[in-house]
Order: sequence, then C-alpha cells, then structure tokens
Amino acid sequence: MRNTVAPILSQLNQVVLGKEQQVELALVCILAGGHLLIEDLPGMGKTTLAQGLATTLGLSYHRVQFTSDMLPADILGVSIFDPQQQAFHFHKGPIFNQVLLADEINRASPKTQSALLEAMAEQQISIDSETYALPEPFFVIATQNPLDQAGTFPLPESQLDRFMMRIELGFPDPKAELAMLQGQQFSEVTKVIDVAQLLLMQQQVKAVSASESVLNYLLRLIGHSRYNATYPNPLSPRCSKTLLQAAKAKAWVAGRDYLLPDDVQAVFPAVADHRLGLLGGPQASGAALSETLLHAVDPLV
Amino acid sequence: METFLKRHHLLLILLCYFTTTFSLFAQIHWLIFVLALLCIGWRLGIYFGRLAAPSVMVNRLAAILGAALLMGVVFSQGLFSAMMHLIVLGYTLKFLELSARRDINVFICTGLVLVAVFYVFETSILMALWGMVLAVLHLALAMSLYSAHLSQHRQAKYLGRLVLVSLPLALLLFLLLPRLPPMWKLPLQNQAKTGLSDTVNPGDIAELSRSSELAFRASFAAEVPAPNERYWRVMTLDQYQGNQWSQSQSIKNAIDVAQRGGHFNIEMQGVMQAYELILEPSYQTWVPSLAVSQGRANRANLMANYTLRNEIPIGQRTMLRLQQFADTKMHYIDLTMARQNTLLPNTGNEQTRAWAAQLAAQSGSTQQKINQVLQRFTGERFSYTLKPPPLGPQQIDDFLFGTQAGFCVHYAGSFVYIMRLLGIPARMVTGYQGGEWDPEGGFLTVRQYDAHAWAEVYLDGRWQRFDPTAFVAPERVEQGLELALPNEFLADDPLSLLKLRSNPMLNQLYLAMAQFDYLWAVWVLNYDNQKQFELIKRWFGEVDFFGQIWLFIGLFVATIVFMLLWHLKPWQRVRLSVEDKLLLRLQKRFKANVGERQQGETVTDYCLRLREEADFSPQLAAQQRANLLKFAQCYNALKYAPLREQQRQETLDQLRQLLRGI
Repeated sequence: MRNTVAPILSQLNQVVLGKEQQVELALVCILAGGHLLIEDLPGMGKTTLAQGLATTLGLSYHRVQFTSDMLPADILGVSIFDPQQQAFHFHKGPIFNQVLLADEINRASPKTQSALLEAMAEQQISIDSETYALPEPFFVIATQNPLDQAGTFPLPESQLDRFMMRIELGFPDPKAELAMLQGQQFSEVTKVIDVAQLLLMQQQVKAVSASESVLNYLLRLIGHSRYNATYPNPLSPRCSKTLLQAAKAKAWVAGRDYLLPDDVQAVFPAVADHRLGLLGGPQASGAALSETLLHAVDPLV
Repeated sequence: METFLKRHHLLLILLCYFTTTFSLFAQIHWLIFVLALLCIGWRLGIYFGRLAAPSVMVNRLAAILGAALLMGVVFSQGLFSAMMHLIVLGYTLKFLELSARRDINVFICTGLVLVAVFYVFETSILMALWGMVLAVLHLALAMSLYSAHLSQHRQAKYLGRLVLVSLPLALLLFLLLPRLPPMWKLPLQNQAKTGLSDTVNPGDIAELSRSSELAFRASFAAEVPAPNERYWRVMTLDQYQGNQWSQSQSIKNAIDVAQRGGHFNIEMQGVMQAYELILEPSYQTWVPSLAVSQGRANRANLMANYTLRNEIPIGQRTMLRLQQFADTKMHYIDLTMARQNTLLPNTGNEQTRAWAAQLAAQSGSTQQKINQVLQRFTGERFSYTLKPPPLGPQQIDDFLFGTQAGFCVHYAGSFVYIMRLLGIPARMVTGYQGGEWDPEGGFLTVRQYDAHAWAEVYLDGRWQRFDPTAFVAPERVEQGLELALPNEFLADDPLSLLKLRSNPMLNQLYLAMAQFDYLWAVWVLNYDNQKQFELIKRWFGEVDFFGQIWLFIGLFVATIVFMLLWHLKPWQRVRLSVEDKLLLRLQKRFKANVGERQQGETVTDYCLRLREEADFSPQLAAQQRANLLKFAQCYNALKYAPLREQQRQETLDQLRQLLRGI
C-alpha cells in the first residue's frame, strides 16, 4: 500500500506549494485516524489543504463555514415533524460525512463548538435520546484563525485535546509563491485512493511495531511534562496514546515497520504544542515548551 | 566578583569563626581577638559597601607583620603554641581576602585544623561532641557554598548523610590505623597544679578534702584490695621545719633523676597484681601507687622511697599500667636517708619532747612504745575533724596537749615527730586512701577528698605503715570520709551532685554516667598501640607490625570499595547493549571534532550532524558520509526493530564494519 503514499503527497504538494512538512503531517494525522486542526492567518491555504486532503483520499466531505450565530443543529441535523407520517423525522446534518471541514471553527460560539465533542471522541451523536453512528472513517478537519484576531472564541482545552494535531502553515517561501503566481498550482484535484484502501493503510499503521525502548522514551517525554513545574498543562494519557499513533503513522509513511525516536520527535510538536500551551496565552509558548521538552529528555538512556 | 558570597554565607563564616576561636579561648593570646575585631570590621565594611577590599600588598603586609608580632609574643610558650597561633592568625586574616571560592576553602580547611587542635586540649565527652559540632559547622559552610542550588533542607539532609557515611571510615581509621608517637611535645598549659603538692601544712589536706574532683580511677586485673588496704602512696615528706612537712634535697634529686628516666632497681617478690590507672590532669609528675608497684613500659619510674614518678607532667587524662608486688618489703634505707628521717628542729614543742623522753625512759620494745603512742590517740579526747582550730607556733604541742582536734596531717605529723624524738626513722607519706568501688563498671574512683596522710616507720629492717588516723577515726579508713564526717563532708559545696546520691534513681544515673566517662577515658582517650594490638589480636589473631599495616590497608580498601559499590550500585546499572557500546565508540571518535551527541538528539540526527560538520579526508569523504547514514540505520534497526536472531547478528556485524569504515 505504501506505493500510494508518494502520489498522494505529490498531488497535495501541488495543491499547497512549498509546505511539504505540513502536508506530510496532515496525511500522517489522517492515517493515524486523528482529527486535524489547521491554524493560521486567513488566506494561507488552510481550506485548500483540507479540501485537497479529503478529495485525494476519496472521502465524502462537507464544508461548514462556522459563524458566531451558528447553532448545534446546523451541524448535527434536526428533527422535523412530518405531517404525512405524523412523526418526527431526523434530517442528518453536515456532520454525517466522512470528512467534516469545520472552517474557522473558532468563530462559532462555544455551544456549537462543543456539539462536535461527542462526535469527535465517540464517532457518534445523540439527539433526542437517539444515538446515530457516524460514517467510517470520520475525520474533523478544522481550520481556525489565531486567537488574537477579532471575533473569535478560543477552543476549550477539552476540545483542543481531541484534535490529534495542530499544524500551522506559515508563509510560503518566495520560490513557492512565485510558482503559485505563475499558475503552476494544480487545480484539478483527483481521487488517488478509495476508502477501502485508506482503511487498509490505517490498519498497517496500527501494525507498526514499537519497541520497549521507544515506548519508554515516549513515556519519559510525557512524564517530564507532568513532574516539572515548567509546564502549566501536563500531557494527558490521551495525548500519549495519540502521540504513539501519530508516530506510528509517521514511521509507516517513512517506509518503516518499526518506530524510531525520530518519528516521535517529528510529530511531537504538532501533537503537543496545543496541549502544552496556556489557553489564551501567546501561541508561541506551546511551541517553545515542546521544544524545551524535546531537549530535556534524551532518547537513549 | 563577590556574587557567590551571600549574606548567609558571611553569617555562617562569622559563626564558624567565633565558635571555633572561643572554644580555644584559653589558649589564644588576646592580640588575636583585637586583630579579629579589626579584620571582621573591615570585612563588614566591604560587605556594606563602605570600604574597599584591601589590596594584595596590604594583605601580605598584614600577614607578615601579624606573624612577626605574634611570634614575638607567644614564642616563649613553646613550638606548639607558636604554630597554633600561626594557624589562628591565618584563620583571622582570611577575613581580609574572602574574594574567591578558594579563599573560603582555605578558611574551611584552617577551621578544621583548629578543630583538631581543640581536641588536643579538650578530652571530655561533651567537648568531643562540641568539637564535632564545630566541624559540622565548617562543613555546612562548604555545603552552602557548593550546593547553593539545593534548598536548605536538602543541603542539611545531604550533609547529614555525608557525615554519617564518613563515621565508619573515621572509626576504622581510629581503631586500626597504626599509631606513631606524637612528633611534638605537647605544651604544658599554664594551668595550676592540682591535687597533692610537694609540701604539706597541717591544713592542706583538709583543704583538698573539700573538693569532689576526680583524682584518678583504677581497675584491677584480679581482685580489688580491701578498703583498708587501699593506701595510694604519692610522695614521702621527710623534712620538718617547725611549721610544714616537705621533701628533703635528696628526694628532690631523686625526683629529678626519675623524671629523666632513672629507675631505682629493686627485686620484686611474690605475686604480681596488674592494675591500670586513669589519671586526671594534675600537671605534676607524681603517680599514685599501691606498695610496692612498678610501671610498665618505662612510663612511671620507681624511686628509692618506693613512689613512682612519670617522666612528663600529667597534662591530660593519662592511662598508666602498673604492677603491684604486695609481698615486696620496703627494705631500702641508706645513711643519708636514716639521718634525714630522724632529723628534727633542735628546739620547740617542749611538752612533747618531755613526754617523748618519758616514753623513751620506759622499758619495753620499740613496738610497744609505738603502740603506746597510738593508744594515746584512741584513749584520750582526740577528735577527727575537717575544721581543726588554728594552731600556734608550737604546732605539735598545741595539737597534742591543746586543741586535740585535727585532720590526718595533724595525727601523722605528730606521730612522725614523736617517732623521730624516740630516734626511730620515720616519715610522713601523703597520698589517697580509699576510693569508691563500682562493681558494675569494675573500677575504683578516687577523688580529691580521699587525699590522706599517714606515717611510715623503719622498724625490723623495713618501712612499715602506721596510720594514726585509723585509731582516732577507724571509719575514715574503713568506709571513707563521707561516712566518717557526715556533717562536714563537702559542707562548703551545698550544690554538689554527690550529695544527691541518697536518691536511688539519681545515684543510678550518676553511676551510669561515671561508667560511661570511664569507658571513654579507657577506650577513646587512652586507646594506644597496646590496646590496638590487643583489639587486633582478638579479632584477627596474632599480627605483627607490618601485618597490621597490611591489615589496615586491606580493611581500608575494602571499606572504600564497599562504599563505592553502595553509592554506584553497579547491579542496578543499565547494561549497555552492543550497539550502544558501538555508538559510544563513534561518539568518542568524533568527540574532539564535532562533539558528543547532545541531550535530546536522536542517533539519526547525530549522524546527520556528523556528516555535515566532521572533517573527513577528501578521498574517503563520500564513502564515510554514506557509512554514517548507514550506521544510523543499522543502529536504529538493532535497537528498535523486531529482528530475528540471525538478522540481528548480521546487522550487528554490519554495524561493526561500518564503524571501522567511518
């Protein structure tokens, strides 16, 4: 299955130019079965990447533009009384898609944001004492603006923790931007794999073996954040699980069947930044913290 | 420059300084304290920013001038004192240049040397503990300086652990380190002599009897002598000058000879009984002994009057091993001695002379006449008291026919006087009589109030002991002073702890403390070559001197090894796998060139960095760079991939080869 990785990446790299690392991380996140949060200023290509990702992987997707007057029903769906059948009938909302593109998620009110909570964690939603299963696979790819932008509601920690990764795109380098202006951007995004293939890939990712010493290193990383006063938000067990999954996906993408400390280090900032940083604090602090953490813990003992 | 020296460091330094110097207060010249005030004042001035630190020249000048001045003042006190003052001077002047860590190191080391000096002067248990406190204070200073990053609580814990760990080593050093005799002579401090003195006035021993201070303690190899046989002879006084008894010139000469090592040779007879004395410092050379004793190992020399003299004054608690030959008779007398011991002032004490003449005129043997004199003390109204009424110029007359109340010196003196009037050689003996036997501790305690005087008469070809006090107050000899004079005993000292001993619990406590003190004196203060030898013999069998050295080295090394093992715990160490060892070799190879792998750096990243930064020879560079990458891959596979045994072996071989190729 690994031979499909290269075409996927090359297509995505033509959609978003000059962002190989972030693109790979985004793919890793999906392969590891995690939700992805893309954060950057408006116009940096967040939505393009999200759309490209969904299309390339052959997933059904729906894009919801979050606004401050949005209600949970706008995402989950709504029960409407059907006069012919004399009964309430549930109309599925946009969340019943394999990929939900939650554009500018932090523009919505906390109430709406939290409507996503159950869906993201349990892959199901409950409305009016009915529980509806969501499609398999199910991903939330959310984009958000930096919090200091006007009219935003910061995501609560509980919801941030449910995103496997948060990536920032950043400004492209001049060469990539020039290529974009010259129209070398690939506009026709096509499907490279289908859902069955994606599920197979996810299984192979899970089968990547992690030796005891790598797990040990991972635990030491997590533990260091807990027993050290430098870190205001210690990392949760969910984070350690997520970190392992992400690292495995990274190893698999790199063509290996076993995990290396390098893989853990490669995904660690994306996985840990938004969990370590203080809510509402300067965003850079999370990145700086994960940087010091990586330097403080040695992969070998 | 002085950022390392915090307020609490300075406080600790001052605390160390003052506790240490005040502990040595009696030994230190007052000039030092004046100097200390100046130096500390300057130091505080620097600390508060009022004064500049003195220049190096000023420091040197101060050191040289101070040393010269001090030497001029204390050099007469002997080499030891001069050296000690030099150390104290350095300790004091260090306040002028506490500018670097090194200076504080010097301060701490000097302080520790001074603590050792303190142990030379102070030997009691409490003082030993205090010395430890001083040492720990200095160590705490070092701790607070070098472990500033630790909290004070942690520092204290760490320090406590270090001290505890060093105790077994110290004990081992103390017990087994072969002992050499000291290379310097300890100074005799300007302390007043205590105990019995060379001359005796009638009131002297009564004075001594008011003191409950320790004189010495004794333990016996076999059985303890009966209370009325515990006559500890200290010196003989053979010269009477009408008011006091003293030593004649011939005895003084003999003392001189004995102090220089001369030994009066006599043939000892009968059974030997060994006993040990722990003498309290008297700052004199006399050694109390039972008749007739000789010293072992030439420390206490026998004189012609059968008393012992040490070669150096007893300035510290000293243990002496003596041997008593109870059956040996004191035969020795020569012409000078015979003359001296019958000599009296030509006139005076007419009443006594008349009485003696009357006695001499009677018929009967000498023994009968002596008995008659002694009977007089029992038969008449003589009383035994610590506070005899004052005597006029005719001492003997006043006592025998006037006051008739006196202490041992009065009785012994009158007896000797009468004997000499009868023409019989007689002398006064001073010493201690009795002592308190502690059956549990197994030692006899003799205090200053056991001081006593009696007489010796040359009769039937030997010196014989006569104790007139035993006739007037037999309980003094049988049971001691306390029971003989219950009302007068330590009357001037109402707070004396000894008086509380009627309370059984306090008595028990007192005995326990006395036993502990005794053991301390025997096993710590007087732990000498011989004790060491006995101890080693008991533990390890016969060992000669070189064997002892080897034994010591062996045990010392064993202790160090044990402590190292305890500290490093190699059985808990992670065993390095083969690939990790190879990685270490790789790191070692590039250590000088690029540096080691950094904290948090993975092996892959490290190899990549090496590839970029290391200098390779141009021909092999490409090959080596490729090998570096492969090395990282192989290492990662070995360490993290699930490999089968055969695969593993192959990869390992490959890794070795790669290392050779880099």
